[in-house]
Amino acid sequence: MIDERIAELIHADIDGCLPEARRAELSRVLLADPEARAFHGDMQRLQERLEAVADEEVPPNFADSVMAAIPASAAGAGSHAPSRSLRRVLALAAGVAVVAVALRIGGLGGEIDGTAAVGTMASPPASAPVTIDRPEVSGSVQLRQTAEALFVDLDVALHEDVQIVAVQANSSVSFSGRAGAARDRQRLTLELPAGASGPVSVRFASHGRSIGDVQLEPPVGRH
Amino acid sequence: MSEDDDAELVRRCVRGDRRAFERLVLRYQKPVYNAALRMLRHPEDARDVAQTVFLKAYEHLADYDPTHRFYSWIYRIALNESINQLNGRKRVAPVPEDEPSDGPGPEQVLDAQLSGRRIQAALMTLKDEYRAVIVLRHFVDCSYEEMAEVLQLPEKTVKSRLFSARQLLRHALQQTGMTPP
Repeated sequence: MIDERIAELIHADIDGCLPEARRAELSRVLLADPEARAFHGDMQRLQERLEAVADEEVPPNFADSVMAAIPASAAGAGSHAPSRSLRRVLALAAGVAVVAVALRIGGLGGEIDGTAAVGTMASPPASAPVTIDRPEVSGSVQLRQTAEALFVDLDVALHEDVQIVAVQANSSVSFSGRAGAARDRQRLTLELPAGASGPVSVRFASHGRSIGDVQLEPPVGRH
Repeated sequence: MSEDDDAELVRRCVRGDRRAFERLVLRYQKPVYNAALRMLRHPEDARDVAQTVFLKAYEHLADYDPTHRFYSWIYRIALNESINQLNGRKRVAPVPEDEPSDGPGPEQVLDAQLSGRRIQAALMTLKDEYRAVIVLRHFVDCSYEEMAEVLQLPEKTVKSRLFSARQLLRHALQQTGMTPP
């Protein structure tokens, strides 16, 4: 059994922080004590083994995914989860444009509660719904184009606190929270500004981790 | 990396400068991801935890005490999140048999990969508190003082824990057949 004081000398040497004044003491111990010498050798080899383990590269686009998931409000503002009733509209932007979010909520076939301006046009062109089926969120997502804006319509059950971010070109809108009681289907609408083009990426995250990513092409057709 | 730069970037973040936070993410993504990976072993879990670390850091920047080093704070979040993730798993990762390597490569590369896997497997047999000190010292290159700051423990306790952890790791490596050469 190595004496505690000698073990400390050996570990300090391995860590490169042995004071010069104590180097001679360690040398004397290693010369005189075969057990200490063997222990020093073992620790040195362990250190070499650990040093030989290379760092792994960060997954591609990691920083981008972090930046897409953080809210646009100033850092340090604490949690951004809204009230559970979701009467609150969150306008969160990433990138260049700050855009308005229109949020409409209602149970399936239920009352519309939110901005009256949303979704009042007759049969606007819409993309085919895409299904998301995760333990945290399930339902469907589709895009709806009007003359004023592009809408991301979600018909989902949110079983956990979920953040949904819709990104198109330089614009993004997001929603955080849990809609009503668990497993109730809810309709949510996120509004992207008119004028932008290209596919829309709808990202789902829960408790800070990505849980799904849906790519949608804007619908083609007359408004 | 400069502590002064970190402090300035944090100040800018709190004032609403997202680009400043992006610079912090770019600066610390690799050590945070690797610390999580060594704590958890699974790349997907490590990615999730690393993302959570930065999101939590962003949300709680106002709580960050600028008298401490930013990286100490973010490594602490990384270790805590990793341990939370492990507790959530409620399973102990088994020590794997030697797995075939992905793709061909020079013999030395294969040896290094095999060695890395065995070390990771041995690390996973340690208690979280021991694995954490090995990760901080050997994979994040923290000094004793920095480890004490990250773990919020006296330096003497950190040293004692590190010394024990090394002996346990050495023993675990012997158990997996990786005796010191």
